[in-house]
Amino acid sequence: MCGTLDKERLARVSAERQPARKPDIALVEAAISGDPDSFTELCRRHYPAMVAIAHSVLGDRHLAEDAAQQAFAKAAVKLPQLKKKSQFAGWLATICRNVAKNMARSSKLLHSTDDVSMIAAETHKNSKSEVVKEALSKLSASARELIFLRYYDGMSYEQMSAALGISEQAINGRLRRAKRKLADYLRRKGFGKV
Amino acid sequence: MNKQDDKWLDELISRTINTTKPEFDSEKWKQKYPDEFKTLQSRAAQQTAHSVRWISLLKNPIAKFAAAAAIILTIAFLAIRPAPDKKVEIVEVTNTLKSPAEMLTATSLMTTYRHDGMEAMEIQMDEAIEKLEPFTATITVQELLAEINGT
Repeated sequence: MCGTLDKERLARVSAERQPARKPDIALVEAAISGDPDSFTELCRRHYPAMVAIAHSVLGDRHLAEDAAQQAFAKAAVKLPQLKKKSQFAGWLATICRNVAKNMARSSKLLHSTDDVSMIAAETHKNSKSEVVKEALSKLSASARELIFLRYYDGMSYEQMSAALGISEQAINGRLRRAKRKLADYLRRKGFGKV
Repeated sequence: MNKQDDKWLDELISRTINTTKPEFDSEKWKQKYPDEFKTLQSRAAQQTAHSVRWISLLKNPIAKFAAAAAIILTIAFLAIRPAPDKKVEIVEVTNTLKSPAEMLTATSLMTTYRHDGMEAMEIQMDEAIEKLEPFTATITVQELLAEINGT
């Protein structure tokens, strides 16, 4: 299932995450009771996932990083309002998604099918990556988000489940459907040997 | 989708999406969002102030006496206050004792004495005796046993 997403990369990522570390809930509690270092540790931990989520909305890496940082700023202020501390990741993802959507609206960069199709048509029509981007834009926002999380940050199903608040089975199913759609689209565009 | 499809697609997507893992720079973030970081820090200050307030309050001799008095009053109130729930339970227990044999057991009498006093115990004994009287001269042993056992 992993393909080139790679067992190696997944192993590396999980190895990086291996060292015994405080659970999110402990860091959230510490941050609420006034420990800024705990909050920055939470930011460090969730930054890649937040950038991936924002990137799936904005379609731009730098803007996605800005959105993730802005989401952390909002979270820093709203943190005491978080009722279920164990659901910090999902709460943060929602903030980040909203920040990215607002940024997209304000800069008219919302990842709409028409925009991307037009850009793709105008520019590198033959470029593989442009066609893949176009294919990604055809997916629903939630499916695109899953693809970005999986390929951007190399998140495991378990981590994705915790971050998005949906079951691993649901993630597996959605990811498979999203990939099938992508494959169909790309095949029609002359990609792949299948 | 088969494994070959997966591999082909994985390669294509990985190449398209910039997969360099983004690193969070906390120092830059603090500079970019100074107000939000101050909010986090101010929470620490608030917590410290709260703790300091309690410590200083407890250092005050008047506050110490007030706290001690409050604790003593609470304990005294709890000790003196009758337990209404238990009383209800005892009354129910007494009411359920129907046979004179049950009413005259040591446990039953002791329980009544402990909770309701000597008078209540005497009443219970009287009631038991009342239930046994009057006997006819012709009562059989079986009837007598049935009377005693309340059956």
